[in-house]
Amino acid sequence: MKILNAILATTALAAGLALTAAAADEIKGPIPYPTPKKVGTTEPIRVPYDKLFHFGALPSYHEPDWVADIVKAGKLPPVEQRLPKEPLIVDTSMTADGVGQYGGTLRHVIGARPQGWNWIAGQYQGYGGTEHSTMMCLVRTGPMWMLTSDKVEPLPQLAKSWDWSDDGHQLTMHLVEGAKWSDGQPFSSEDVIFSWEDNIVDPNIPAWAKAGAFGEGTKLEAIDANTIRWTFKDSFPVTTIYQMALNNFCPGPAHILKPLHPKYNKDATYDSYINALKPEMLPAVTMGPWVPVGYKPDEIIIMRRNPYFIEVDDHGNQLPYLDEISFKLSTWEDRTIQTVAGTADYTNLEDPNLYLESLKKAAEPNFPNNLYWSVRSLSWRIDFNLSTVCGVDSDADKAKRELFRNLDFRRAISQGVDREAMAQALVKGPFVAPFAGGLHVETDFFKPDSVVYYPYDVASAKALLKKAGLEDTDGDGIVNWTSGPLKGKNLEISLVYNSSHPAYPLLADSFIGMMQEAGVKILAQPAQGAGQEDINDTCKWEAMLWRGDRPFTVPLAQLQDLAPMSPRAPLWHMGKPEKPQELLPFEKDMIAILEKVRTEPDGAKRADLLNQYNHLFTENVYSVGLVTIPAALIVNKRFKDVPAGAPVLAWQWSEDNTLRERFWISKEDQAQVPELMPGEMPGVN
Amino acid sequence: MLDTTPDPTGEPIPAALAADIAPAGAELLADAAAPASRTVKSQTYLRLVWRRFRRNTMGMVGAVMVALLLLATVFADFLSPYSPVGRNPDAIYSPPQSLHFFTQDGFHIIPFTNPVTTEIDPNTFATVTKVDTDTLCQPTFLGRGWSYRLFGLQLDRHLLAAPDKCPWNILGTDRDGRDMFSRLLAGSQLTMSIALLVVAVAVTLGSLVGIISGYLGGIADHWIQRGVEFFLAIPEVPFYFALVAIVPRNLEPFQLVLVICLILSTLRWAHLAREVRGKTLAIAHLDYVSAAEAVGAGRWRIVVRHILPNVMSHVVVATTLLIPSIILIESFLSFLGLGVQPPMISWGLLLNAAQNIQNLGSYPWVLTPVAGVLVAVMSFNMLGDGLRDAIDPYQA
Amino acid sequence: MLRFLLRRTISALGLLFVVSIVSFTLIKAPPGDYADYAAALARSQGGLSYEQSMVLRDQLRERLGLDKPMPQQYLQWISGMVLRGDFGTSYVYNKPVLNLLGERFFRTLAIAGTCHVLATLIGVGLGIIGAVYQHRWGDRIASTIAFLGMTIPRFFMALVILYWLAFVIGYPYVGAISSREFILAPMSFAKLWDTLKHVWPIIFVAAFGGLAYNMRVMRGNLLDVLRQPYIEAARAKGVPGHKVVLKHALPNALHPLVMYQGVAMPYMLSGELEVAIVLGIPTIGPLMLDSLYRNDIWVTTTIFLWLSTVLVVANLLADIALGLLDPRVRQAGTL
Repeated sequence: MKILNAILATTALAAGLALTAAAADEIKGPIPYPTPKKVGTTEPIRVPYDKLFHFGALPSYHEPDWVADIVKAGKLPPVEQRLPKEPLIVDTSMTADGVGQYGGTLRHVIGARPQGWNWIAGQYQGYGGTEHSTMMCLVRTGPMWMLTSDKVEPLPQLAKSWDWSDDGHQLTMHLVEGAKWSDGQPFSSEDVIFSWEDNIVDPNIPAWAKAGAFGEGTKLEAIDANTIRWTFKDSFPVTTIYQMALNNFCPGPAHILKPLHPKYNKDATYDSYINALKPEMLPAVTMGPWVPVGYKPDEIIIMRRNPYFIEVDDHGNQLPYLDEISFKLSTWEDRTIQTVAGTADYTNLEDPNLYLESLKKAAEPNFPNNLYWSVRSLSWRIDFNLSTVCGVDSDADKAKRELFRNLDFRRAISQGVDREAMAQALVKGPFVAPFAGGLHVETDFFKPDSVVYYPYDVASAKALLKKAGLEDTDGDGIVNWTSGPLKGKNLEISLVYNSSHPAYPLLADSFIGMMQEAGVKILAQPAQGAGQEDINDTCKWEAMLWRGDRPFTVPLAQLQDLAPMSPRAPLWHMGKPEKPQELLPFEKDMIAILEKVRTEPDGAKRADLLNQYNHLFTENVYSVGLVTIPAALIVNKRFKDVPAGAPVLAWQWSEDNTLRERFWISKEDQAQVPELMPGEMPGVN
Repeated sequence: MLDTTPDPTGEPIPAALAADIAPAGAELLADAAAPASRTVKSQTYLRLVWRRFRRNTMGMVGAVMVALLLLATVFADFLSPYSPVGRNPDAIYSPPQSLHFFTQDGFHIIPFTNPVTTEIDPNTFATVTKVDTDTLCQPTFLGRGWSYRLFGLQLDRHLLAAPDKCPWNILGTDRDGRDMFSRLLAGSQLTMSIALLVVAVAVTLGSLVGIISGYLGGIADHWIQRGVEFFLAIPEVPFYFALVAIVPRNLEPFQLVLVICLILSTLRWAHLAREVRGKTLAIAHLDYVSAAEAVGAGRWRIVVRHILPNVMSHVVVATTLLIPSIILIESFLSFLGLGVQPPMISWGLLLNAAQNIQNLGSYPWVLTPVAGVLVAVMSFNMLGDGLRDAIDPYQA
Repeated sequence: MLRFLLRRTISALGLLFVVSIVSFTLIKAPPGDYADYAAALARSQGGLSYEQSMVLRDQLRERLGLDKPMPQQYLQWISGMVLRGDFGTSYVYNKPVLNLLGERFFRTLAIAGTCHVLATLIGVGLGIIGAVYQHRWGDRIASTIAFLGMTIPRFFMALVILYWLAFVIGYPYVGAISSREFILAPMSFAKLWDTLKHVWPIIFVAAFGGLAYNMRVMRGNLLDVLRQPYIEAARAKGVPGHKVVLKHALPNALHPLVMYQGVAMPYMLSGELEVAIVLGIPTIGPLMLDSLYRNDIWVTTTIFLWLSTVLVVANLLADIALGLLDPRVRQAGTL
C-alpha cells in the first residue's frame, strides 16, 4: 500500500520546509500529513457546562423503594437528610434515554488487584473503574469531553465553585455543604486539609500527587468548614486546577484515617498507616457512587450503592441508578474477551489484537453489546535516548547519544519506517493510522498542518544517514561509523520494549525488518515490568518502543512530560537532579511555549500554542512516531444512557468519561443479570 | 535379566540370533552331502541392529522422515522460493494460494498459483478474498532468486525460484508480507540446531553421570545423587523464567541463542541421570558383570562394554523423547517472548504469533509452524521407537 | 527403613535450603524491583507524571525495605519462615504470602493431581495395550494417541481451545475459576461442577500431554519384561495370558515408571502452568509469572520453594516405593 494520498493540502509551511530540509535531491522533503478518517461516526451529544453539572436544591428527592423501606424501618435517615443542602445535579434531559429506573448491576473485569482503601496514601483499588467508583475529588475532568466548546473547564465535584483573587495568587474554593461520607459522618474541609497536610505534603507518604504537582511553594488552608484557599507562587496558574482531579486530589475520610496516622497516634507507624485499610476491611468508607462491601481475593470485588452519595438527577432521584457493580479480578485481555462473550458488561477495547475478532462478533445479530469507537488517543513511538548526562558510561555511549541528538539521524530513521505497512501489519483495515509523533491527531485542538510529516523513502533514509556520518563501508548491508570511537563498526542499536503485551513484539519485529533494509541493525531487547522501569530510571537504554497515551491526548494534564522542564522528565531526555539536561535548541523553544501554556487562561490561544509545540516536535523528529490507534468502548446492550462518542481515553479513562452513575437498566432487562447481594446496604446489613 | 556370555571378541551375541548362525536342523538330518561350508561372518552388533530395524515399518518411516527433515533443514535456503526476511507491504496477511497443475494447455509439472488480494469487509469484518484466475504465477525450476550462503558458497539458485512480481505463497504470508513457507523452512534451522545441541549436551552428561553414579555406588553415588536431586528439585518453567530475566539483553542474537541452549540444558540431564542410574543399579550387580570383574576387566571396559549397551535402549528412548520436548519448551519460551528474538527465526518465534488472537481467527495460516513441530516431533519419536526395538537384544 | 527415611528427610531439608538460596538469588538478580513496577502502574493507570512516580517509587522502596542488602533480606525471609511461619508479604496483593498462596496452591495441586492420576491411568492402560498388541492395531491406535498428545505444544492446544470457546461458541465459563454466582457461595457439588466447567481445558490438555510419556515408558518396559525367560516359563506352564501380563509382567515393568512419578508431578505442574497462563485461570502458574513480571519477590521465591518441596517429596516417595518394590535396589544399599 503506497503512500500516494488523495489529500493535497499544500501549505506554504510544507513547501518552505521542503526547500530547507532537502539538502540533496535524493532526500524527500515533508509531505502533508495523511490525516486519517475517524473510525466510527458517532457524533456525541454535547452539553453546556452549567447544564451538565451544577449544585442546587430541588423541591423533592427520591430513592429506590427498597431503600425507602430501610428508611421506614428506622435504619437510615430519610433521603433529604442524607443529601447535602444543595446536591450535585446531573442533567438527564440531553441524554439518549432520559431519566433512569433504579436497579440492576454492572459487571466489570479488571486485571489489577486492590491494594487497599487508603487511596489518599497512594494505594490503588485495582484500576479499571474501581477508583472512579470510590473516589470523589475536588474537581472532575473525565466528562469534559462532552462539553460544548464555549466553556471547557474542570467540572465541580467536591468543590462547588472557585474564584481567583485579583492578583491571581489565591484561589478560593467553596466545598459542597452538608455532604456526608458513606458511613453518615460529615464531609468538610477537615478531610481536605488532612489529605493535603498529612498525606500529599507529608514526605513519608507515597501519595498519588506530591505537593510539587500543584506548583512549587503552594499552600492550602481551610477558611471554614466549607471553604479552602490555595496560595500559589505563580499568578493565575490556571492549569493547576486540572491537577485537582482523579487520582491526584481525592480526599480521604479524616475521621477514620486521622486516628491511624502517626502524627496523631503515637503507636502508629507510616507503614501501619498506609496499610491500615486492607481490602478485606469492609465496608470501606467512600464519597463515590458505590461502596465496596464484598471482596474475595483474585475473584471479585462487589460494591453497592452509597446511600449518602451527593449526586441526584434533574428530577431529584438520588444517584446512582444501578444498585450494584462488581469487578471480577482477572486480566485486562480477559476483560474484552468476557465482554464480547457477554459474561461481562464493560470494556475498553484498546488491544489491537482483539479488534478484528471483537468486530466480527459485533457484526453478528446476537451480539450482546454496543460498540462505540472513539478517537485515536493511543499511539506507539520509538524514542532515542537524547540524554548526555544520564546513563552515559563510555565513549561508545557518548558517541551514540551524540548521534541520536543529530536531526539527520532521527529523520533518517523516520523516513525508513513504512508506517502504512506497519499499520496494516498491526490490524488490517482502516483502523490504524500512521503517526508522526507529537500530540495525538484527533484531539479537539489539533490542526493537520501543525505536523511536519516526512515520507517513507529508503533512499532518503540512506542519504540522511550518510549526512550523519554513517556509510556502509564494508558492504555487509549495515552502515558503519565513519569517525569516532566506533569507527568502522556496524551501527547497532538496542531497542527496549515491553514483552508482555503482544502488540509490542509485533511492532518491534516490523521495525527491525524495516531498519535492516535501511542499513541499521537493531537488537531486540524485550524487558518485563519492573525490569523496564529500572532501565528507564537509570537511562541505560538506546532506543525504546513504547505506547503514548494521556500526555499526548490531553497535554494540559501532564505538561511536564512533554519537554525537559525539570531534570527527571521527559522519559527520552532525562537529566539527574544534580545535573540537568543539555538542551537542544528547539527544546528551549518548546519549554518556552509550554510555560506560556501553563499560565494562559484563553482556550483558543492555548490551542494555538500547543499546535506550535507540535510543529516543533514533528519538524525535529523529537520522537519517531509509528502508528496511532483508536479505541472502542464496548458496553452491554442492557445499559441505557451510555453517552455515544465517549472517548476511551481523554482526561481520564472511559470509566470516568461515561458517567456510570447515570447508567440505568429498564426493569424488564434487570432480570437478565441478577445482583449478587440484593438488598445489601453498606453499614446497615 | 540377561545371560549372555562374553565372547572372545568382546561382543555379546544375543542368544536369539544364534539361529542365524547355526545351520538349520533339517539340513543336519538329511543324508545329503554335508552342506557346503557356510562361512557366515559373525555379524557385528550394528549390522544386527540394522537388520532388525529394517523390519520395523514405523521405525523406517521415522528414519526417512528424520532424514528428509534434516535435509530440508540443511538446504532450507535452497528450498525457499522467497527470502524469509523479505518484506512485501503489498501482500500483508495474504492467504495460502492453491496450487494448480492443470491449465488449458494441459498438465504442468511445476504447480502455479493465481494472485490473491484480500480486504476486510466493512460490515462483517470478515476477510474477503479475491482470486485473479486470469493470471498465472509460475516459479522457475532451479531458477535464480534471492542470494544465500550454503557451505560457504554464495548462491542464488533455488529449487523453485519465485516468479517476479507474481505471488507464489503456498502457505500465505505473515503480517509483514513475508512468505510463510520460506519462514517455516528457515525456522527449522534454528529450532533443530537448538534441539540437537541441547540434547547432545544433556544426554551425554546425563548418561555418564547416571552410569558412573550407579556403578560406583557408595559415597560417590550418594553425593552425586544429592547433586542430581538438587537439579531435579528445581521447578523447570519458573527456573527458565527467572534465568531468562537475568540474561543481558543486548546480546547479539546468535549469542542469545547459545545462552538459551545453555539454559535449557541445565535441568534436562538430571532426569536422565536418575533413570540411567536406576537401570545401572539393576545390572551392575548381576553375575556376568561380577564375572567380568573377577576376570580382571577394568572398570571402564565394564562400563562401556557391558553396562552401556544394556542401558542404551533407555538412553535412546530418552534422547528421542528429549528432542521434541526441547523443541516444545523452546517454542513455549519464544511464544512468551522470552526466547529467540527477531530477526532470528525459529519455530517457537513464529508461534509467538499465536498470542495474537486475531491470527487464530482471521489468519490461521500464520500458525503453520505448529505443523513443523508436529512433523519433527513425530518423526523423532517413530525413529526412536524403531531404534529402541532394534537395539534391544531380546527382540523375539 | 526408618533410618533411611530420616536420612533422606534431613538431606531433603538441606536441599530445600540450597534451593531457597538459589531461587532468591536468581529472582533478585535482574534489575528492577516492585517499587519500579508500582511507579509504572501509577503513571499509566493513575496518570501520574514521571517525576511524581519517581518520588512514589523511592518512598515505596524505602518503606518496603527493598533497598536493603540482599543477604539481609534473605535472612529476614528465612528467619520469618522458620520461626513464625511467615513467608513474607505480597506487595501487589498487600497480604501475607501464606494467605495468598494457600488457596491457589490447593487448587493447583488439586488440578495437577487430577491430571496426574488421569494421565497415569490412561497412559498405563494404553501402554499395556501397546505392548500386548505390539505392531498390531491396538498398538497403532495407542501410539497415535500418545503421539498427538506429545507433539502438539500444550500452549497451542490451550490457545486453540480458548479461541474456540470464547469466540466461536461463546462459552460462558471462560477465564476464571468459577462463575459469578458461585464466587461467594460455599463449596457444594454445584460449585464443584461449576469449577469443573471452568477448568476442564487445563485437565484435558495437561493429561493429554502427560499420558504419552507414561504410555511409552510402560510399553517399552513391558515389552522388555515380556521377553524374559520367566515370562516364557509362565506361559509354558499354562498361566492364562492376562494373568501373565498383569501378575508377572506388570509389577516388574513398573520400576522406572515408579521412579518417573517423581518426575511426573513437575510435568503436570508445568503443563498446568502453561495452560493456566494462556487461559487466565487463577492458579499458581499465572501467579508466578505475574509476580515475576511485577517483582513481587516474596511470592515468587515462596512459590519456587513450595514447588521444589513438592518435587522433593515426590522424589522421596518414588524412592521409597522403588525400595519397597525392588529388593535388589534395597540390597545395593546405596539408597
